[in-house]
Amino acid sequence: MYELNLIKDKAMARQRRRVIFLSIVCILFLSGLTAIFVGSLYWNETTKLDTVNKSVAALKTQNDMLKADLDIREPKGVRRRNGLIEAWRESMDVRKDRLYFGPALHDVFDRRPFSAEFWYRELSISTAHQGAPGVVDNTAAELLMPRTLDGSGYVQIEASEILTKRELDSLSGRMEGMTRLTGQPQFSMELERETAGSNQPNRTGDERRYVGFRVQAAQRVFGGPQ
Amino acid sequence: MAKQAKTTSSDWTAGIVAIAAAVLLGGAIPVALYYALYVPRVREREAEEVKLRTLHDDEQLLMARRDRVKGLEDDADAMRKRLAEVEEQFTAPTEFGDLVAHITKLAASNHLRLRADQAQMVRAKVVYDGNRRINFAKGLKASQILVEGQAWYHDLGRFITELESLKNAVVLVESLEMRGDQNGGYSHNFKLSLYVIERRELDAVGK
Repeated sequence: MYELNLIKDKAMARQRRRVIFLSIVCILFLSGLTAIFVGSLYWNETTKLDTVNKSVAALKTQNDMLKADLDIREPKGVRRRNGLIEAWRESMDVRKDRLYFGPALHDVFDRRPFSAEFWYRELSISTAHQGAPGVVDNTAAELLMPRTLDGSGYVQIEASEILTKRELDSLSGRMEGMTRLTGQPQFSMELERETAGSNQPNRTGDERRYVGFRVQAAQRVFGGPQ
Repeated sequence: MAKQAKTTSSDWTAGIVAIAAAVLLGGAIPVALYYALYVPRVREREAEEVKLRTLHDDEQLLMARRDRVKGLEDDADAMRKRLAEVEEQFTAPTEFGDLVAHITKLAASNHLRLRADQAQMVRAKVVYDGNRRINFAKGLKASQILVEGQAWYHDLGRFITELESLKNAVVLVESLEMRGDQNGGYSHNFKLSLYVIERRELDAVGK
């Protein structure tokens, strides 16, 4: 009976060891499988990370290059466009705002008193500050601005000084070309320089009176060169 | 009987402990791998993906900026064309000499001549280079030409009108001084200062 039990015990112990061994093997096997699964997830992530890293690096390089290029091109483009716009505006102004001497000279010839004889002796049309001492040269701007007019001559006094002055005033109102160039000319008579007709051209020996006159114009321009 | 049961229970104890140890160990390895390797890698990838999205946003902004810059450059090209049209009538600096020659011919054809006191001077000319170049505020330049002499008023007026209506140049008269000449009959002595507007070097504008 005792021997039988001993044999039975040995068999049970073997059985037990087998069960335990198989259980441990199964557990370790499952653990290994799970570890492999986790490892594969890790590998998958590593691959994805590599891809993302490469994309990040490529995109960063591309963006950096584009940014560097644009950082140069943008201010250059703005400068160029603005420069061209300003240049165009300036050139347009020169063409549009230029002043013509032709019509003014035509006025000098064509606009005369209705009845009195009339001569210009000298005439000067110049920019406002031309040759003035101590004035900063700003010829370019002044070329587009009204000129100053200074002239002198003789006019015959037909009836009286008052009537002649009135005639000269009406004359200045008819000088459109000169008004555009210099502003409205103002005539003034220099009565102290009155001379007898015999001293003047076309003298007739009669008692006609001639008086010196000055014509001046200086259109005030606001915002012009100081 | 009780002894037999006790023996059986103690026989299993070591095995159960071993199995439990195996479960713990076997379970710990994948869990440890999961938290030690996989989770940090996932976080790293997510961080990189955020960076990638930011870079894509930056790229979109840069593309929009590139389009804007392209627009600026196109505007500049269009403006250059318009400026070239406006300045077509201006004189290229290299053509200045030709223009002086042309104005000299124009003066001769309108009977502008040297003043009597200049007539004997060897190098005296009615039309000559003023040797002065002025700059407008935005880069336009003009060169001076002086015309000096004696002429009938109508001839001088016609000459100035022709100058002001030249097709191939923009000539601005700066000033005119005119005085009757007592010895010249109906002739007047005059001095005319002109400025010829020069065409710009368009490729250099705004650079």
